[in-house]
Amino acid sequence: MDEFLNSLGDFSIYLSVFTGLLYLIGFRKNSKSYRIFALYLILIALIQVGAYYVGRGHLHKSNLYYSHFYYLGQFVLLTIFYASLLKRKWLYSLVVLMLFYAAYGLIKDPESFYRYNTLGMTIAHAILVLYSVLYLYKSITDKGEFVIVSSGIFFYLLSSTLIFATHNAVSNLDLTKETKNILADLNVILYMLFLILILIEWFRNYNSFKGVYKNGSNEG
Amino acid sequence: MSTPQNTISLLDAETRTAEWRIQNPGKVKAFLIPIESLTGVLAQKPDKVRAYLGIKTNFDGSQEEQLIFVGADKKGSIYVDQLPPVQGDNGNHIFDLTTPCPSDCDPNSSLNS
Repeated sequence: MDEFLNSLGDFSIYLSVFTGLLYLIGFRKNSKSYRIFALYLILIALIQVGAYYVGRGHLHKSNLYYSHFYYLGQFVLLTIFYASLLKRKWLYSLVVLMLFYAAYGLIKDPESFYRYNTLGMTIAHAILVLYSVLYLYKSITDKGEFVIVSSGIFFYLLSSTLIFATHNAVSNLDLTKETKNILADLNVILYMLFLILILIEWFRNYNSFKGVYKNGSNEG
Repeated sequence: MSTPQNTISLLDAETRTAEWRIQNPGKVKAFLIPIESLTGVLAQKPDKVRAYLGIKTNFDGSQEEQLIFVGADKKGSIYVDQLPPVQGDNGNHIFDLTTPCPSDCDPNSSLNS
């Protein structure tokens, strides 16, 4: 089972890279929101590959510090993404506040760079979930883009936050490594589902090849 | 060719590792240790080497066991760990980078199954 989930973890990294590259197709001709989301996917793919290389992929060193790049990079890019979708520029101020909070924490306790910032991650994810709810609510009346992705962000970040909160809570309950690894495996499966929703969004709404194919068949 | 000190026979090793697996099913069975970790700790010229057990948490939330090596010098009746200071450098270092089995195993070794 462990080998299967390790393979699933490896596959999720490949899929993450593939999804990022896929969104680069049509990068220039699509909307600002699309371009920001493509950059977000590329950033997450780079973090995944980097963490894998430093960790079990090659160096076998601790890669926990990548979590800071992950949650801060994700927060910054998805806030800009939703500021564009929701047309609320004041959301940028939350980026500044979050970066100040993260910088303050690291200056106060430099060693915390090598640990999870559970509170920071939870706050960042909760705000991102709130954006997705606001956008999905808005989409009921105004048909907008990235509804499938927003559903994915809502369900994945909410689940992931609960998993990591539980993961840290169970640390105090002396539960075994195996139990914690089950939570990590569950997170990998949910991440795969999130990536699949992102791929569905692209194939349904941004697949430029579909247009080419349609034109081709019309000509034929 | 003379036998080095502190060795045991293959049969003895198989018995001991089998006993560990019986008493600890599903748990880590061995560690793969980079040569650099061993030569690094030996370069500090300790009297002995102490190996601590640890658990490393990864970026994705998964965890794995590790061995952590420190040199130890005899002071009186105990071997005192050669620890580095919190800040600065006194020439002492702590070595890890070990990988647990599973997943880093030799599937054909008689010590593994």
